[in-house]
Order: sequence, then structure tokens, then C-alpha cells
Amino acid sequence: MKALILYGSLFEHGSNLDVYLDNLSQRMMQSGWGLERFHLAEMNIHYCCGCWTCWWKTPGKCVFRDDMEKIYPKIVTADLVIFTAPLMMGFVHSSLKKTMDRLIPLILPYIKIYRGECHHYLRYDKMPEFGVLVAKEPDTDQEDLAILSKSFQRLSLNFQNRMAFVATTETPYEEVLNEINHI
Amino acid sequence: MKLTIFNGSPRGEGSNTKVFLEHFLNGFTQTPGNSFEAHYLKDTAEHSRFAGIFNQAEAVMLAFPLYTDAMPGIVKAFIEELRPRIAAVESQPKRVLFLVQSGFPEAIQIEAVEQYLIKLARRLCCECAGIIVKGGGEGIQLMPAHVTRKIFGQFYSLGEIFGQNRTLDVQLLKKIRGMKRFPAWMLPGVYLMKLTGLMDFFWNAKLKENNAFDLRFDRPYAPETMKDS
Ligand SMILES: Cc1cc2nc3c(=O)[nH]c(=O)nc-3n(C[C@H](O)[C@H](O)[C@H](O)COP(=O)(O)O)c2cc1C
Repeated sequence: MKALILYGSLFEHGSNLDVYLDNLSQRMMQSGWGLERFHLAEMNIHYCCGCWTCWWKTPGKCVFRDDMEKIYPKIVTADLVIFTAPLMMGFVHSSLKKTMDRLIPLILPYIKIYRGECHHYLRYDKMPEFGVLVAKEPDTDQEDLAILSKSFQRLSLNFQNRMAFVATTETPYEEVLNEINHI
Repeated sequence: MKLTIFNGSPRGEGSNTKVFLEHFLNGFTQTPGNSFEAHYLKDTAEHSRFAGIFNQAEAVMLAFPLYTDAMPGIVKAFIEELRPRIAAVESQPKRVLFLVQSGFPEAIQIEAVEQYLIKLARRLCCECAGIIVKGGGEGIQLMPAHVTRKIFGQFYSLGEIFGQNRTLDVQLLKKIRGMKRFPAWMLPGVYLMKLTGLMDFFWNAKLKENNAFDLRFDRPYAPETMKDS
């Protein structure tokens, strides 16, 4: 089983999130997971410019041939993608958000009704499951976490996969591992 | 009143967001003395200057397209620039309003980010004048005038009333917002088949225009493909 960690860090090495990720990774490897981690803020990743080149000019390929090219092949072969970042102003850091915007080449322009709503057909046979891991800000409350969770649940609906977990660095490792080991 | 607009579409001047804003602003400027200025968050190098403008502004409108069920990355980056404002609460709370428009037609697609924006206004110690939620925005620049006339008229009226009394008209907001989800009778129905069929027709025309129709299902990053190349 392969997991990909998309880490929208702010170079705060040794932060709570760093420590949590290291511990979680270690436990995942012990249960047989292969892991790969990308430090998004240190990579060359453009913001999506909304040009639709990935849908109607070079289907499946973004107009920007940047470090996302290292990430795409890993996503389509992974069993789990963990989106992880510190919360900032109540949502995941922009280095992670811009990477999420760049996932559009992985779906097709064509629309279907999925669970009673409009969604796109997938370009690849299967999408990995998603997981979300964030570090709270001093003012993060239950409402912020509920909004975060709702937004990612919708992302998962759009990619027609399972949202395995939405966790913070305060979530017991066992809880997250339990969900991961269901995959 | 002066309204300072931040257009958060990565498409900038060519955006659907701008089209909706224009009609809102045409209504808004009907009241003598009302004026606006617009800034494009696509210029990410200018974000810290824009944050300064935000802080000085009397009333602010942040408008953007829905991107992967939330705000586009450039909008998130801008919001992060606003962080210092939290500490510096002013005596006179600023008015903010938002416009979020999406490709898919149902309002439920936008609801998570809508809740985020209500909370954001509180974070920034601003008074939230409301959130304009508009689904089905992607085709707006291609639709014939008789289809868009009504929608644009609603944006105009919304802007006009806001220009007069600094509030968004609840009835108009509701009309613009449209349905939350498709009602059960529509699923699986002719209406929806027409809708998705129309969209598919549009994408296919574009693919053909670019000589890419045969490549439409390409999987450039699938292991098989990667091996071949
Ligand atoms: C990267 C990307 C992600 C998008 N994600 C969504 C989405 O999650 N839900 C949706 O309804 N529309 C989505 N859209 C569609 C846009 O919201 C829609 O096309 C909008 O009208 C674009 O407005 P603009 O021209 O002002 O940028 C997405 C578009 C792009 C380019």
C-alpha cells in the first residue's frame, strides 16, 4: 500500500505538525505502508490559471510543466493521499490549496450526476482515498474544524472516493491508523 | 460610499467573476457619490500592497470562483496576508461582502466556503454584509443575451439596492442562489440529461477546435503511459 503526503509546510521544521507526521509515518511504515512526502512550499508549483488547457488542448496535462509533474504519477498510483498543512486564517495553507487546484487534470470535463449532484467523470480508473491532517491555530475552534471537514468532504465527493479521516495533531495516532488500515 | 473590490479569479480581467461584478457595479454606481476601485488578486506579487488597501478601505467586496470546493489558491494566499488585521481592530468596523460563483449549478457546492467566509469576516473584525452565491457561472460568457438578461438584471438590482442602503436584498440573494440541490423529481430526468449533454457538447467543440478530441480520455500519468514515453 502506498501513501502520498502532500505537505504544505511553512519551513517550521520541528513544529507540532512535523513531529506528528514523523510519528504517524513511522507507525504507518510499521504496518507495511510505503510513504512518499512532498514539501510543497519548497517546490516549484504554479497557481492554476483557469485556462482549461488540461481539458481541451493537452487532455490530462497542465499548461505548466512544473514540479506537479512529479506529483501526478504518484497520485494516480497511490492508495491514500494525505493533505497536510498548518491552518492559517481558518483553512489549509495556500501552498496546499494551490496544489489542490492543480488536481483538475485528473478528472474529465464531462459531467454526470453522482449522489444526486453534478460531478465530473474521473480521468483515471481509480482515485486514492483522501486524508486530511492539520495543525490548529491558537484560535481554531470546533466551527473551524467543521468547515474544514465539510470542504474536504466535498472535495472527496468530487473525486468520488472515500475521505478516510480529517484529523488534527491532537487526534490520537490510533484513531488515524485505524481509519488508514481500513483502506 | 466607496467599494473596494478584490477579484480573486486567476483569469483576472477575462473572468466570469468580472462579468457578474460589472452588472452589480452598474447598479451600485446609480446612487450619486458611489464609486469603486478594483484589484486583481492574480497579481500575487501585489498581495501585501493589496492588504494595505484592504485595511484602509471603507467597504470591501471579495469575489472569486469556486476552486476545488473552496477559494482559489491565490485567494487563500491573499487572505493570509490579511492576518495582521486581526490584532489591529479598528473602532469603525469595515463592511465586507462576498461573491462566490461556481461551475456546477447547485448552491450546495458553495456552502462550505460560504460558512468559511462568514467566519472570516468575524476573524477580520468586519461586518459581513452578505454573500452572493451563484452557481452555473462557467457558461455565462457564452450564453445568449435572452438567457443572461434576467441574471444580469438581478445582479444590477442587487448592486443598486446595496448602493442605496448598504445591504444585500435577501429576496434577490435567494433568487440568484437558486436551488440547493436538484429536487428528486429531476433525477434521473430529461432536464438533467439536457444540462449535462449541453456541457458535454461545449467541451467536445472546444476539444475539436484544438485538434485534441481523439486525446480527450488520455491518461498521461498512468503507469502504462509513463512506461511508453
Ligand atoms: C481549478 C478549478 C477548480 C474548480 N473547481 C470547481 C468546483 O469545485 N466546483 C464547481 O462548481 N466549479 C469549479 N470550478 C469551475 C469554476 O468555478 C467556474 O468555471 C467559474 O465560473 C470560473 O470563474 P472565473 O472565470 O471568474 O474564474 C473550477 C474551475 C477550475 C479552473
